[in-house]
Amino acid sequence: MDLALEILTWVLLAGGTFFSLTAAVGVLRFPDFYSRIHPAGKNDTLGVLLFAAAMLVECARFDYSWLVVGRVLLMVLFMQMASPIAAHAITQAAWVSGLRPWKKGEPTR
Amino acid sequence: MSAAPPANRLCIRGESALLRHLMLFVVLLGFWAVLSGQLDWTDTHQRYLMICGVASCALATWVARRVGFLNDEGPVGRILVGALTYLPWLTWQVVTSNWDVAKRVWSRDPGLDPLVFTTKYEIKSDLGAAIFANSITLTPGTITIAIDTEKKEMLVHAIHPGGQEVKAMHDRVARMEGGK
Repeated sequence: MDLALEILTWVLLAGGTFFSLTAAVGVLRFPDFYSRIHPAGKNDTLGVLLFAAAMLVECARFDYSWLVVGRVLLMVLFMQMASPIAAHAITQAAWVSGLRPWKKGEPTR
Repeated sequence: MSAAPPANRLCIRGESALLRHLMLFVVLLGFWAVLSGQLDWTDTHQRYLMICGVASCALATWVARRVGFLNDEGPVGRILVGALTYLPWLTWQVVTSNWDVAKRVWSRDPGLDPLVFTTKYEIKSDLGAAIFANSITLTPGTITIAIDTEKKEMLVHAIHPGGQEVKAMHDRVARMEGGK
């Protein structure tokens, strides 16, 4: 049982790492500012969710109190609220300052 | 969708000002309890901390009332209840769309065809509109660039035309706040 939980933790951690890495690669590969914000600002939301799930499994494994569980959940909640707001603020700043999105077929910048 | 401001700012759609502030107080108490964790009433020092916690929650609620923090928020309690079914659905949306973006990132041809479009919304409260805008941004593939609360429009950037389907999300948020 303990082994199963440990394996589950590692699977979740690996999944979180995969999506975070994907976000980083996406930032490098996508053509312009606006499309880069997509992986940068939010593809890691799923990464964070998976990391938090791994932590919850560890909490269950080592019998942490409900307070620790509550803090992990709060952390997830705040990161999920903060990341879209940050992404929105950055894109709006770019839009207001006059940057126009890349269209298919244009040369990449 | 009515653009007119509510007649009585202290009582919007059945939730009284008292109830809202009570809810804020309870949420603050819960937040404090989780972060503090020192909840042993028999211990003199922890008892002192708990009294201070309750006092600061009360102070924060009082300040929130003074600055009119909760006046125009929309049906908060109703939205909180609705969020219980909305959040799992949204999480699933996040998972599927993350997978979609991940496939694009790792494929030889990401198949990007970005476009900017406006979408009308018929959500009444500011809180509901904020939840909708954040939900659009949270699901990869679309980002809310700007909101026009006068015209009730959102400017959205999508990395491919399939991202234009935000209707389902809009309807869920509208239902959550008890709209049409």
